[in-house]
Amino acid sequence: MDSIIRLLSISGFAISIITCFVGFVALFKSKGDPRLKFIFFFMCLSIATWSFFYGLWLLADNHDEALFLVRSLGLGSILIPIFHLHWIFSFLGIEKKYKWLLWYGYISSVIFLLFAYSSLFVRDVELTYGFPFWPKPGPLYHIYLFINFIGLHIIGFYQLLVHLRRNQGIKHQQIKHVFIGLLLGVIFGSTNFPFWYDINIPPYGNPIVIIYISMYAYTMIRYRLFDIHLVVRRGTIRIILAAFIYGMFHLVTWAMVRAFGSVWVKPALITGIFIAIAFVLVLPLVEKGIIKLTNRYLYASIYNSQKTLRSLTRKLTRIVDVLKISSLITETVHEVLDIESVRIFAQNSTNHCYHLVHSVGFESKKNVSCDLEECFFTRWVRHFKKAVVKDELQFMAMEHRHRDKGAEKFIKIQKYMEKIGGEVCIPFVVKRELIGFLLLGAKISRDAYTKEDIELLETLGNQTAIALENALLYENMEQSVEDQTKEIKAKNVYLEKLLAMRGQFLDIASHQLRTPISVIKGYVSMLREGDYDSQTPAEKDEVYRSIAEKTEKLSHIVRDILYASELDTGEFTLKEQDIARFPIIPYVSKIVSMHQDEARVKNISLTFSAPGDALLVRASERYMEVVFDNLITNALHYTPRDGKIVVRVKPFQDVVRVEVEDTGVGIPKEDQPGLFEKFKRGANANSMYTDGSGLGLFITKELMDGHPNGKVGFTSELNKGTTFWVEMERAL
Amino acid sequence: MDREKTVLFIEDDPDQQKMYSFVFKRAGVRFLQAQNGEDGIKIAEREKPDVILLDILMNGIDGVDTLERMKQNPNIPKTTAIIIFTNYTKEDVLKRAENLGAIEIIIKTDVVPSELVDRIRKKYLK
Repeated sequence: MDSIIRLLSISGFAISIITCFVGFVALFKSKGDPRLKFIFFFMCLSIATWSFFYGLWLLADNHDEALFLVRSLGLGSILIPIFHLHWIFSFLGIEKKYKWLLWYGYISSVIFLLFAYSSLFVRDVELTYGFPFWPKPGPLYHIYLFINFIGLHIIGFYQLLVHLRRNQGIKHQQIKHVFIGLLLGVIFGSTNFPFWYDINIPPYGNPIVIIYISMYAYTMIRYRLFDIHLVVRRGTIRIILAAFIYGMFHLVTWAMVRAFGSVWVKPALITGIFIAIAFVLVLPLVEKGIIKLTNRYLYASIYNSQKTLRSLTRKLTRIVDVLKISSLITETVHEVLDIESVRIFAQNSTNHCYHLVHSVGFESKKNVSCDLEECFFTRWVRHFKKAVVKDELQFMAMEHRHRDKGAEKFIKIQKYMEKIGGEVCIPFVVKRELIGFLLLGAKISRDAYTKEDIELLETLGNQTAIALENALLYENMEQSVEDQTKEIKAKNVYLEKLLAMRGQFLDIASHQLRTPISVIKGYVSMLREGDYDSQTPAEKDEVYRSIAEKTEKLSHIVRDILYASELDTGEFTLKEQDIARFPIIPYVSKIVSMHQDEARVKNISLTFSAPGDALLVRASERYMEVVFDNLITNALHYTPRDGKIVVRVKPFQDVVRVEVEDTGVGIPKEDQPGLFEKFKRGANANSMYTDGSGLGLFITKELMDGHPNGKVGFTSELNKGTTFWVEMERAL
Repeated sequence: MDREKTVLFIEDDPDQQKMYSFVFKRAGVRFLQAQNGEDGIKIAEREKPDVILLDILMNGIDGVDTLERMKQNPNIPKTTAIIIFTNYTKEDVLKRAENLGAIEIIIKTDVVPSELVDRIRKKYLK
């Protein structure tokens, strides 16, 4: 009987120590709602107080001591039901709804506490079924037991069950574990009550209360009941190790007493030496085993995936292909963590959206778009930087409920994650830029993500971010090389074309230059050789006229070439001093009359028409002469004999237009676009005039573009004629 | 007595027509003129000149095409010396003219009129 009492006493101390440990860890080593932490802590404290005095009481050897200790034990046990209820209500978030119940619990408990050391609560201690000092209830104790202990616990369990059905994911797991643990704790703790009423059910269930507290520890670690740090793991290992040594010590002592009658006899002492050596040898193995066990059951995912992660990280650094990196990560994560679906998104810098690069296990899901737009979610993730766990957003919302719009934001994000089918989002952030993210669905086991999972994924996320950044840079580089190559090729084609046109121009230009030179050279040599000495003055005049004309033509050609090369730089603009106000009608009229001789040779009627009013324009006299000369010369070149050319001046509100209309060959439709480009000539141009360089219209266009409000254009019909027009700014 | 030596000059620039006509006529050569290739062929068929001076860049069919037609024309004797006389120096065009049977290619700016007359007389009008 004594040993049973001792064992129960030890269970009391063990419960007390473990409960204190759990309570303190939750209070000081976790993040989250401080209110919840405090209630949990006080709950643990009440359990610890009860079980500590419970242990002491069982060891008491006289009546008074036992009565005092059993009443002290009451200080804890009185508070356990109300703290349990309060903890359950705050954990479920229904505190406010059942405020009155909590008030009742606290007030009644205070009353019980006031009478804890009186016979109203504990009447006395008596010998009960082998226990020398078992307490007997006073009148208040009945109320405590039936209303507070049984009643409040039933309400608590009921609420847990109701919420168990309503919640999913991590919260579901938490409620489930809290429920099972609490049920075990209460049921086995209750084995202490029957003796009070002289019912012969022994309190052997008490040691099992340890399971209840351990369940909290397990839920905290595995299901992030409180977001605790890893320190718990080491603590857990030490506690289990200590329990093992303690157990071994008593086992060996018990065995020796059984075998040798005492531990102090010679054979016992000798056996002890061997046992000690064996113990020293075995202990490290046991420790290893404990670590393995805790890893296996408390940190299953980290245990299984650490190796995989290491090799994955090594692999990642060697790949520079976005697709390969993405598929490697999704496949690995999918396999290691047993997740239903994994998707990886990468930023598309051109259209600000996140492109689905790789996906596993999403085939069956519909309504999941391939690309995600840049939105509040991605912006928030970029800012948050850490893993976003859908289930945790609810806690975050609760934490921020006092802040303006704080809670709403988290709920919105949670809903968005629900919509896109993501339980966890691991962002890849590089230099404040979200270059992509991993979106994980639910685990196949329906288990929640553990803290270890998240830490593992965050580490992986960081590695991936770097690998992905490198890959994207590499890709960009390749792309830009490709772009540049393309650009160079296009430039080459253009240059080749230009070169061909230039070659054509040079052939024409050399011909254009040589022809007047050959005439001048010929006539001059003939004059020098005296060929014309005996000719009439009229015949001589004809020679001089030819020379003058060819010289003039030569200077025109040289002028055109010089203009073209000057305008070719593309930076031609008229300077303010080049522009003057001048009357346009006499100006054009003069240029027209200068071409009358040429017209006469081909029997072309070249006429000028203008309104009676004086019209002033703002233009460059020097350059406009080139323009009109080009247009009229063109018309003369491409109009057959006996044709008609009309030069017209038309005033408008802001501009003055000058048209040159001919009855020439016209420009084929297909040659009309780009006619103002350098070296461009109509396909039928050579049939009329062989010496065209393809520079005249280019020069005209460039000069007009350089003018204020300057414009040039044409309409043309094949074999009917062409009208070229220019517009200059009208001056008032 | 020998038939009068005849030169056909096909050229569309009136100034040049006038100038070369002067020197050839003064040298006592029968000098025929055409403004374009087609007229040139007709005259050549009819008059059967000893020498034809053919420009390249002309309105209508160009000089090289004219040359080709002349060479295929049975009414123009194969003995006719057809000379390309031009300022157009594009190499592939000149090469083509040579292949088609131009007996010589003379660039206008390279010779003054009196030299041209002397050269033609010495080479082709004996």
